[in-house]
Amino acid sequence: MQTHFDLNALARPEISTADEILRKCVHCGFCTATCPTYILTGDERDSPRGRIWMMRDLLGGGDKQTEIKPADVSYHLDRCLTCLSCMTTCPSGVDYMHLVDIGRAEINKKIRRGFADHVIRTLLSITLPFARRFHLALRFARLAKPFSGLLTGRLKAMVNLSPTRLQALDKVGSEDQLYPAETSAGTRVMLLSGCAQRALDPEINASTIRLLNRQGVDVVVRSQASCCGALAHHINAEDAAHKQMEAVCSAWENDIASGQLDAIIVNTSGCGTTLKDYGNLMSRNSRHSETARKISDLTMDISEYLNSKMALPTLAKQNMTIAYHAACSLQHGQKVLQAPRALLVQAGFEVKTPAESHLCCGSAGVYNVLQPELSQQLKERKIRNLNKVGADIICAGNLGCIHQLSDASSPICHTIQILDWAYGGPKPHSLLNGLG
Amino acid sequence: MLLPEPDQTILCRRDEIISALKRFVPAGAVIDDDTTMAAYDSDGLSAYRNQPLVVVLPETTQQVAAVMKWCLDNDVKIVPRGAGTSLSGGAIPLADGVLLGLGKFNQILDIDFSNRTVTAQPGVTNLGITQAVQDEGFYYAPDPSSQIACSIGGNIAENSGGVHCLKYGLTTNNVLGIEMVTMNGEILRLGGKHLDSGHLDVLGVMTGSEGLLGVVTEVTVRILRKPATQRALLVGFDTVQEGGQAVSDVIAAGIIPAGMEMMDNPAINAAEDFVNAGYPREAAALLIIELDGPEAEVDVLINKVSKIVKTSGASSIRISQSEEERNQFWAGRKSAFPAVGRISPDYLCMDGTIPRKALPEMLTRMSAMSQKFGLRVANVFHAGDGNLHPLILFDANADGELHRAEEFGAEILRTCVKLGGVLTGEHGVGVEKRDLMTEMFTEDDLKQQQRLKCAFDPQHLLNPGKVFPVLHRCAELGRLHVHQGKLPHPDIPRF
Amino acid sequence: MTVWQPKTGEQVTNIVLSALAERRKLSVSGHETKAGLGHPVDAKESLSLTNLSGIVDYQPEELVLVVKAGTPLDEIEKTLSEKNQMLAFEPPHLERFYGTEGTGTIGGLVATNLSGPRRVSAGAARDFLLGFAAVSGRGDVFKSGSRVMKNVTGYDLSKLMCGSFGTLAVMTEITLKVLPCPETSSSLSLLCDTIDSAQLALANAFCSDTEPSGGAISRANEGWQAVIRLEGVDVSVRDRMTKLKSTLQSARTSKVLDKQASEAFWENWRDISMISDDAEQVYRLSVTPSDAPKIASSLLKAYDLELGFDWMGGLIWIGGKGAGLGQKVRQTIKDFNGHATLMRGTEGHRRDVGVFQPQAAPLAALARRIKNAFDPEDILNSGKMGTIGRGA
Repeated sequence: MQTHFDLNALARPEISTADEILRKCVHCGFCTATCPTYILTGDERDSPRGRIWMMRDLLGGGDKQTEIKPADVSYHLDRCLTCLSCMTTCPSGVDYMHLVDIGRAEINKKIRRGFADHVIRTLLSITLPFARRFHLALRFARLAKPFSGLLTGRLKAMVNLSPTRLQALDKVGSEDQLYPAETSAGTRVMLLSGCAQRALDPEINASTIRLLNRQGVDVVVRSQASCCGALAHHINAEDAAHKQMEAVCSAWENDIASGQLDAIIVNTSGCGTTLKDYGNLMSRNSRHSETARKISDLTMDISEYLNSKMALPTLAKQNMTIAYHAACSLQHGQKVLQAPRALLVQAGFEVKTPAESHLCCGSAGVYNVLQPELSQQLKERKIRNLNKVGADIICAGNLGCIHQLSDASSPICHTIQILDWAYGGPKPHSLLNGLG
Repeated sequence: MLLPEPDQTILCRRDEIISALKRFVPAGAVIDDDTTMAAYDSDGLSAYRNQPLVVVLPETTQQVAAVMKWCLDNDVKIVPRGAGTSLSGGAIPLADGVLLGLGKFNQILDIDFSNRTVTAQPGVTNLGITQAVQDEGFYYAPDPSSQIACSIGGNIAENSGGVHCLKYGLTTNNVLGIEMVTMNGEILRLGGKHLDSGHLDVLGVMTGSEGLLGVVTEVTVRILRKPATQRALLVGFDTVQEGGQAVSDVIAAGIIPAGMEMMDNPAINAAEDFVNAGYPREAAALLIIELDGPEAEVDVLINKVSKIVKTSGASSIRISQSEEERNQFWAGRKSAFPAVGRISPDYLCMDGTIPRKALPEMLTRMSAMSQKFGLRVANVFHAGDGNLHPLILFDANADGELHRAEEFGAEILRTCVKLGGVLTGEHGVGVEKRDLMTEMFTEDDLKQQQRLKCAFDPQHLLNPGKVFPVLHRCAELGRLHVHQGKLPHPDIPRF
Repeated sequence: MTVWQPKTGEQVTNIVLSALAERRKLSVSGHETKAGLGHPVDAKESLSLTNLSGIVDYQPEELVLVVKAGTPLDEIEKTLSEKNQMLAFEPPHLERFYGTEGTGTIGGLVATNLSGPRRVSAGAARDFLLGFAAVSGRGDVFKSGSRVMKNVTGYDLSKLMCGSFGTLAVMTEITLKVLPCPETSSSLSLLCDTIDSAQLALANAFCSDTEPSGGAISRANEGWQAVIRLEGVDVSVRDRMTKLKSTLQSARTSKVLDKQASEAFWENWRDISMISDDAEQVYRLSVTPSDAPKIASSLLKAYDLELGFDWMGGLIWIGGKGAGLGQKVRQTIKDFNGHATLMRGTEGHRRDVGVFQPQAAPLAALARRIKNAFDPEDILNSGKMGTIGRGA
């Protein structure tokens, strides 16, 4: 599309980047077809095309004569899940992900959020990234759960999202640790232990480490690399995000520089997308940009790593069907589509895909807290589609999805938990009350 | 291109109009803030934008009827909008008009395999209809390239086509019934699951009426069983003449392929750079011929077509041996537009139809025009029915290039008419080709069409400024001059 | 009665203009083979297009035929068959049905939008009309459409002209899309116990991938005969027939009609052979195919009828007699959605029941306004479609 940025504006690197991205968009509207919020509302403003069009005006590249109110644009950018389904669909290669980052950062400078909004966002950004703190918060939330009917909106959503049964905080990530393979093949990977994941489901890290160890891979965890910064980044707490990203870079820089790492493994696909973008996100950070770039190069989702770098044996038929739920960050953000399915098939399972598998489940980081109505609609839609498959188990590669879809008829767990189980590990706890 | 001058009295009444409209639709369905209304100010012809007076997104037919009736009573214009993918500017708003968006009408209402029909709301996408029935082995045949996003209601407004309309017809040949609302708020049901109208074919004339005669609120279409087999041939030619000849020869042999698409050398290379489909880069013309139907039939036809194109002078022939290979043949054609978008900051996608045999002549003339206007052009055609899509490459941010590209486009369309064809085969007239209508129609032709409009919308409130270059008042059009000589007409302002 | 027989389009224009100037009504016709269809025209003069005849341009490789409106259908069909092409909508030859001579003109065919059995798969006459030139009831010469299939420039007036029974304008030139003839045809005939099972067999055939091009039901001695046509290349037709037979196994007995027998059956069916010449009233019902059995049963309960189905059950031909038959047909149609046309009957029947299905008031009013847009003085075929705008 045509843009009308003046030279002063283009002197700013983020505007120049935005201009490049905007020029690629031809306003064809293909993206509206696969955007969850457009599918729900039928409102152009809640579609990628509409958001792109409004961002062009907001950033100063449009030729509108009237005043642009950032708060009005913000409302619709807030409703964007950042699922990136649009990027998968776009025939012109519009980099929506980076454009919306720029748009949100710009809005952040221009508006002041309301008090309640500010409180919720602050609350989320000071708890979720800190596993211990988050775990504590969940214990309190659990107490409040029976009274959630008295709450409304986001507070209610937060309380309802807390699990009824809380496990002990994951030890993985509490301190620097090497998890050596039983018979080491000399391969070493770094594992991002994650933040919310450690409070909600320690079995994910445990099964990741077990399976890797069994394959002869040593796993390193650095406790200072606690949160990848994705959450803070997505709610525009840019300073906090940057601090967290710098901490990750510092925590890992020596391991990376040593050249001993075969890969950096992520088992929460939401984090994976961010780590793969570190090179870009930290490009202007003089101290860490080099490490950040290397992090981007080394990062692989656990399913990618297992599928491309490990030769797992093919197992006999398990006589179990799995409905594979493709997390947005994995299928759209990282374009990892076949690896998880291939691994499950190789492990002897029959893998089925639910209808509308390109649509987000509504978890989208903390979207399910900040946009409870839309999130709920997407959750119900996804659960309906999954239930129609009637599989024995549902697998997903992202904690957020697993948590969001826990109400589905079939038990749900992480792909790595199922793989670990198939290749000799214990049965995942979510399956303990059901399958034989 | 210009849109009608906005009516100042309407602009002054904006607040009153907005409050009135809010009475008819749910809260939040009226969008009146300057900032976000902008999302609705353009469609697929994105070089042009125009802020509407207000945007209204109704959810039911009754709401549509109430809004339209009120607008008629208060002299307020309406521009209907489906998915906003029109390439001719059909959904560009009017500054003094209501932008009536049908995006919330997104449900499929009835699927009837026994009678082979689907009934859907107009905001359901074209592909959405196929997706609803594909598990049972059915599909909806008309397949415009934008089918993933374009709405079935919009398809009716434009009488959309696509690759497969050579064999299966356009939208008008596949629509069985609609529910529509006229400007005076009347809800009409035309057709249904039965065939033929039994009276004047209002459904037939509504299809392709570009939002000027009424607003469609429900659609019933014919679905077909998916053909047993689909196979394709990828044929390269050293000259466009031979390619064009091959197209004629295939049809002359009594074969109607499911689709027959042609790409010229610039388009072939742009596509190859983008998706690596394995196209012959030196070919002057590439033909993708798809044959579908019962397996035995397809096998026979593949052989026949193969022989025919060889005789016509094909320099390379590949026949798909698997579904995967067939999709691969199509990969380049399907991404031709974005592929071209990669080699140029912007492009204008034109649309015109010529008799098949005029293809080589057209390409020769286009090549000369390319020199004249100093702009590159890549061609993708629905060769089977002579429908061209020249892609004129330009840079919108370079001074004057948009204008030159439009002049080039207009010249192409004039040439289409001169060669015995028409201005638009699929995309509609909209605003883009409005001012070329006189190339194809006489004053009397246009007036007769406008009289039809008067039967539906005498006050010209539905989508004025689109399709017809001059708006005559209905009273004036209705006047009979009994003498052979024409009565002097008062000067009609052009816009 | 004055009969005008123009030889050129210009003459047509002059006739209309002079009629208009003096407000004289005209009855527009071709060979009047279908004069028995429609209401009587209120006119003292006749404008006959029989001398406006001839092929203007025929380009087989472009699949386009341009003819003058008064060209006889058999001349057109002969010309097309020489190039192994056809009018795919299978226009009926109604000489026997109406007791007239000749096959009629192409103008009359387009004006009545009559299509044969292949309409169910190939489309109706209106789907093959690419364009036309005409003189309106205002005396204006105008054209619409073109010689190419892919055309969405301006309103699709061709659709309006088709089935307008000459009440909007006098067509002078007509452009049609033509298609190659299929190599061969074969039909499967199944004996079924009930209309329901026969219609179900047709529906199953059309839902399969055997691509039928005709689906009829006729009365048999013990039950109902479902007949399904397959056309195309020889090896394909044989293959599909095998598949079709196995898909429709459950029927009692079946037999395959070879090319000759198949063509004979469908030609007869096209020409409404299931209704005898002395049937007093003949109705043509267009319905939702799956409703056909219920509609037919409801009518058969009340009346002794000659009955036949086409278009997979979507078309029902009824021949019978009796006061009230027409009303019963109209009422039944109203209950089910669809429309019924009185194809043959006396003047009395036409008055009682109307020829065309009454329309909802807003639609009827719209039809009246459309008529006014083309023929404000109502000089062309006045009354032919009933009082347009006042129901039947």
